[in-house]
Amino acid sequence: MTAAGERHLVEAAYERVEDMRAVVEAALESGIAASQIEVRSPAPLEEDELPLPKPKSRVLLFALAGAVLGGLTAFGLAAGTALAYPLPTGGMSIVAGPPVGVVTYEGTALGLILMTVLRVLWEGGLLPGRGIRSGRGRASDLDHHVANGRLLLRVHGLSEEQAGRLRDSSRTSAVEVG
Amino acid sequence: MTRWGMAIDLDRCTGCEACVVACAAENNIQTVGEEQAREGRAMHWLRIERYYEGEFPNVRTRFMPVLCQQCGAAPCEPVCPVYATYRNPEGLNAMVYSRCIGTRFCANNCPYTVRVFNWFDAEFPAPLDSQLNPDVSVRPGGVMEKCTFCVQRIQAGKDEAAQEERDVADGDIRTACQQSCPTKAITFGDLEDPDSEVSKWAESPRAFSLLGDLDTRPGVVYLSGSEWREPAE
Amino acid sequence: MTAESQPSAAVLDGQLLGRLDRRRPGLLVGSLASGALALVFIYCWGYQIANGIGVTGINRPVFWGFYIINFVFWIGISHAGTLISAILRVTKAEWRRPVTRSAEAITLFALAIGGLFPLIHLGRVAIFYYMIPYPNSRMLWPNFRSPLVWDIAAITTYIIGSALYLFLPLIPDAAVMRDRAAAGLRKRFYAVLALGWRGTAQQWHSLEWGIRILAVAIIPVAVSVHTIVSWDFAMTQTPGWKSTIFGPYFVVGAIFSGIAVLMIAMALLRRGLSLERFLTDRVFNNLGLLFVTMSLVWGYFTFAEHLTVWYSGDLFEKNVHHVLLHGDFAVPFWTMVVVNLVIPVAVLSFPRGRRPLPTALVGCGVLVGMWLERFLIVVPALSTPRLAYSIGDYMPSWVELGIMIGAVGVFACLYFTFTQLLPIVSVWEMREGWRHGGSGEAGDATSDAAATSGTAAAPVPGGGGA
Repeated sequence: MTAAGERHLVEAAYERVEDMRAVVEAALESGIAASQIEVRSPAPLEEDELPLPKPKSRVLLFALAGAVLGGLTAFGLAAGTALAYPLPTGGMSIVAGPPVGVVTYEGTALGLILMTVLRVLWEGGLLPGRGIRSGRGRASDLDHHVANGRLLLRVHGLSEEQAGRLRDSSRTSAVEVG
Repeated sequence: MTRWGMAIDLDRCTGCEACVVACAAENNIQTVGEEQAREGRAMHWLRIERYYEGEFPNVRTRFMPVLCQQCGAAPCEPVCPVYATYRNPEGLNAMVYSRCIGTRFCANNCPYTVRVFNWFDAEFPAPLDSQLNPDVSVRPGGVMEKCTFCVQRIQAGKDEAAQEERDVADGDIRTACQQSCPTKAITFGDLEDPDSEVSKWAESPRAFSLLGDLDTRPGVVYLSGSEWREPAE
Repeated sequence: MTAESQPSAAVLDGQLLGRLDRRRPGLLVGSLASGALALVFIYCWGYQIANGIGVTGINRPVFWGFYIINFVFWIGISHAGTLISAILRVTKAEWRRPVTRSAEAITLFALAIGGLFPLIHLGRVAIFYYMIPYPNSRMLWPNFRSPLVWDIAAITTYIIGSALYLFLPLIPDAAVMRDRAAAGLRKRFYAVLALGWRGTAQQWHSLEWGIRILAVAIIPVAVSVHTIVSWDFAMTQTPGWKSTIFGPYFVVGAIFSGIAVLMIAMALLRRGLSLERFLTDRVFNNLGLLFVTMSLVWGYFTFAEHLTVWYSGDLFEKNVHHVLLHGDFAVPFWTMVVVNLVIPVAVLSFPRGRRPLPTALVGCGVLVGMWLERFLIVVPALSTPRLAYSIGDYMPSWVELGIMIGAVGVFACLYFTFTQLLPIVSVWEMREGWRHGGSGEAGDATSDAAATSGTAAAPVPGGGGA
């Protein structure tokens, strides 16, 4: 489960976030970068529970872009196509405001919803072909701990020595170390 | 421009229903049979409504032929999701059978309840099939239909005039109901032409539109000299 | 609640997972039985397609019948989930946690069935796609001025939105199922559904954003859907239908019937899956309060609708009004008032009435009442047209009845199957609640968990972080 040559991966499952916190703090002090540390939890953690950088998300931005895109598409569909094939309406307007408004409204909502979900999946590496990079997001033998409500710490790209030290420090408080 | 219209003189109508029969024969209208008719599925494009006045034995019957009013602002048109019914340039509410998917929304929004629906595929067992009008399509099941002002006759009249290199004259085109009316209670023609018979009838002080205050701008005008106007009750 | 009855979060967590692991033959039997009923649906629809729409009881002037009634009814029920769960999420109501999943599943399945009814109702269902806008050789586009096309736009958005809104919070739970399943078909099934979810910080962060946005976005969609359904009626000039109040009236009615189904489903789930610890009395009490509020709002709208019609004295409107209140439809009308307003207010006003059994029974009554409401909107208005000569009546045929009953079977079959396959109570959301120390009585036990977790023999969900 190593990313490149001699790089090592250490995994440890914990019952309590406090136990994991101590190990993470020690790891950071010993010079391991925060970007090497991956935490898997059974439910969202509070921001200040671990001394790790907050993840960033652009879901909202993409949602708004999706809304604009969906709205324009729906508007074009309702108004543009009516103009492309103007059918006889007996003097009534071919592009009527309220119906186009209704369709645009629904298109806006649909665009927003679709883009939101796509962006969530993309950011989480859940879309096909994404996410399996440098061992992150890969299945782990310890994943069942997360499913059963425990926390899983994974530290990537360690040297032989770093890995050994981390394993030793984890053994006291972790449920299982891999 | 042409705006096809019809005028019906109720004071002349005897309620003989010759027009109903003529309409069915001309337009290949399905005969649904006793059982279906009892369920409210008779398919007349034109019906004679009967209303009674007074107490027996001093009863008087009023007759009112009701057919598609070919509205100028038709409530049936905007609600169709597939443009199966639309307003053609000559003022007809045209039905495109092949587009109709049978939502029946148009029929619900018709204040005159003149639209009829093909609940089943039409059957014309021999020898009835040999009396079908070749100029009119037989509608499949699941499709809405209604009075067309005998659009096939309008087309034939225009074709004939074109061949003779002249304009369509008033009276050239006669609908089946008009043709069969023994009291000549029905007239048909161009409402835009001020000299046509139908225009003159429409200007009569006896003229009124059915449910006129809905402002559907019907192409059918009724004439009645009596106090009685609309079968309101 | 006494301290003894408060188990720790760890114990609760174990119990919840235990429920998921346990095989429930009852659910399988339910799936099969309702599946048999679903066959009735398929047979009747097939019979109708083969023989023509005339096998129904609809006629002139009652061109719309049971199918449209059931369409409005099921779309109404679909408001159970998405709307209610979204409102509870947006307002951060802690007691939502055990409710949302079951509510969202109701939405999706009810919507799938509701969306079928307009198709069943078509005269020529084989060419239903004429209503969908796409470039075609007919050089024709749907008529965007028709409320039916608005319906298509709204229902498409709503069904996709609801499916995703159910699916997004389901991903972490699918991962739980995947990681707990032994290798094999089951594991592969959950692996596909979980999309490779591992529970990393980035995944949780993005997911929370997504759920937050969807919850806000789905509320206006849900409102628009039932408003547009009401416009199928209100946009016409048919007496009894054209009404400016119909939009909000339908939305309120939809939420009302939605809560009714939710109450029934939750009472059944609580009992059938022994979820008393999670679907607590407090949840039922809160939902019961919401329920009685909707009953009163519904009553207010009904009164306002009929008062204005009666007072106007409009001849054609009064004809419809008369058959409703005093004529042929008086019995269903007053039945509706009793089961939708009198009984709910009488029962749910009291704390004792807001327990699982009484709320579920009131919910059954409301379902009947809300079905009758849709019946009383569709049929009397059509059977009393302006020209008195065309006055008609309507009796459904066995085909319509078969499809209506069969649809219930389809719904139950989908719901039973869903309950068997996936956690009907959201595991991760319950865990989150326990961590925050506040999901109903169950969450109050977090302090307990923190106290015992020092010796933690049993798994504690993320520790007592509170």
